[in-house]
Amino acid sequence: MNSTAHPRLLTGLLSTSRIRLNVSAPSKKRMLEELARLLSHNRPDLHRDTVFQVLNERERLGSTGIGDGIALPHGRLNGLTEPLAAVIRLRQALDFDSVDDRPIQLIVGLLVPANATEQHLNILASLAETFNNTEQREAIFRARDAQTLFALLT
Amino acid sequence: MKIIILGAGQVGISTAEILAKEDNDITLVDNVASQVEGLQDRLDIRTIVGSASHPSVLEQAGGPDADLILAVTDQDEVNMAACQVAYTLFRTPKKIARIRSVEYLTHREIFSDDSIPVDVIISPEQLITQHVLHLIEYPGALQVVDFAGGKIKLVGLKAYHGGPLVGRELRTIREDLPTVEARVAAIYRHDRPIIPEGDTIIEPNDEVFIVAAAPHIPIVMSEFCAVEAPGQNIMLVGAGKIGLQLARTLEQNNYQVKLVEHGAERARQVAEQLDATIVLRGDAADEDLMLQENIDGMDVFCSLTNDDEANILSAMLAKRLGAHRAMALINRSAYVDLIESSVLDVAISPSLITVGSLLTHVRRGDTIAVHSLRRGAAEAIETIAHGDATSSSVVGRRIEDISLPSGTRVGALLRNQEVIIPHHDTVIEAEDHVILFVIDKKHIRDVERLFQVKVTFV
Repeated sequence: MNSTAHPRLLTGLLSTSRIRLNVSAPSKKRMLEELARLLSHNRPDLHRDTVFQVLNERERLGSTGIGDGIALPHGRLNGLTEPLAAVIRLRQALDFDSVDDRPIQLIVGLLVPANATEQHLNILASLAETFNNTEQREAIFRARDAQTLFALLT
Repeated sequence: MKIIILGAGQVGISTAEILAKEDNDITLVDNVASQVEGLQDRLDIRTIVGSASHPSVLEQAGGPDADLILAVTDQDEVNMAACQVAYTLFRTPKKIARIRSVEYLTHREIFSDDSIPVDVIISPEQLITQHVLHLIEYPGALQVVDFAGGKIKLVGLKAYHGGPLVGRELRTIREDLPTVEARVAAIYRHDRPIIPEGDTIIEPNDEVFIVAAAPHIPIVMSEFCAVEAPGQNIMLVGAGKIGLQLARTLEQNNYQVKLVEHGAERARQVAEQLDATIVLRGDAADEDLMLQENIDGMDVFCSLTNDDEANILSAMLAKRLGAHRAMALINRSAYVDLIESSVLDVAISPSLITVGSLLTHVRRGDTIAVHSLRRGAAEAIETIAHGDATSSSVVGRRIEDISLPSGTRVGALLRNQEVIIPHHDTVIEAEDHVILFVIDKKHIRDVERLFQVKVTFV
């Protein structure tokens, strides 16, 4: 693992409680539901159904599957003041209309405030760039537990 | 998309067939085993026998995974209950229900997430009424469909000898109509599509599809066929839900309507519900009755009973007896192919009309309207372009620089509520409504992809 390459993108946005490995989601809908559940976990200000709706609506405008088995579902959420991330790794790859038509296994979900700043919006572009790095990607796919994954992304 | 269709009637089956071909995962549910028998293999879908609104049946049909549920059983109440169950148990994101009863349709406030969670209501009767009304308003049209809430229309028509543009190059339309902007989206000659170019010469019998701002449609149509004023005298046959609703709409628009109904009781009932319409009890196949009611003075004859054969035959008879234009409601798609453009002027296919409006909700991207054209072979869609030059493949680009699939043309744009008939160098802006004509439905997937935003769009 090349530790100098990792940009600590999700520092402050992610916690180990919002990382789940070995998730079973047989459909896009259930994966997004699980992601919404994780994102709203311990956050009484966030409603799971609303988070799901936001992620699902964004997905309708164009798949967030960026290829190489990775998707970055995201959305703007009213009332949110700071961006928030969650990570899911699936037990079984899932068809997600990705740009390369390959099924996805690693999902990084991101919520940004409704009036997101340029800085917030750049998180996505940087994430996509990070995953473009084969070593980074493989380390994340290989990570054995949430702590390891957390360390890789923050 | 994972889609559950409830009710294997005409609309349920044709929708399942179309959606399965488009790479969706379809489960069709009906409570009568014989209704779904054999469909599994023929259409490549999953079928389940059971009561459409029962939680166990919806669970078995894949409720927890479904993106969309389409409730088109023949009972409004079952359709509503199924949406309610799906929402409560599975939080199904999109729930579409067919609702026929005017009792429910006139109280839209009952349909919301905290009462009856139906996101989209489909009323085939209203769709068909609207469809036929358009055909009456635009004589000579084979099909008229609305975009941008009616501001933009697409018209299909047959070019005739005597139309000023017939026999001339398409580009010369500017000489005739210098102040009117219109776009020929497609031409079909002997059933084969031709990509319209400026030097394409319009021939008689060409089927032409034109896009223009609604007020310009009549004058543009008059370039292709002899000018006709919309006729005032309409004869309808069959006082079912569609016949009644159409008669009511027509009389409100000051048409002179005669409505022929076979059943005495029904004829009496509808006569009470209509004001200016003359309700006649009788048989549309009765030549004497037709002559007595001045069939040769009718601008439009339209047969709307639930019997395809009777509709076709009475419309043929009306045509022979001198009715100016004859249309028939035809459910069986094989008949639609056979009849239209040969013996009758227009075949009205309820399932094609309904399916088009359903497709709107299945398409990826921000699709506003979908209309099936040419018996489902072609499609016209209205979709919103989002994003910017980096996150979209269309925004910020000139139309000529967008890699549209072959046979796909941009017909019109709606920008800030204003209609734009685009040229090759028109640049698409974010939030433009783009009206596209897709000659071959197999390219729909590519069109969807083209308009989808990339991952960086937030």
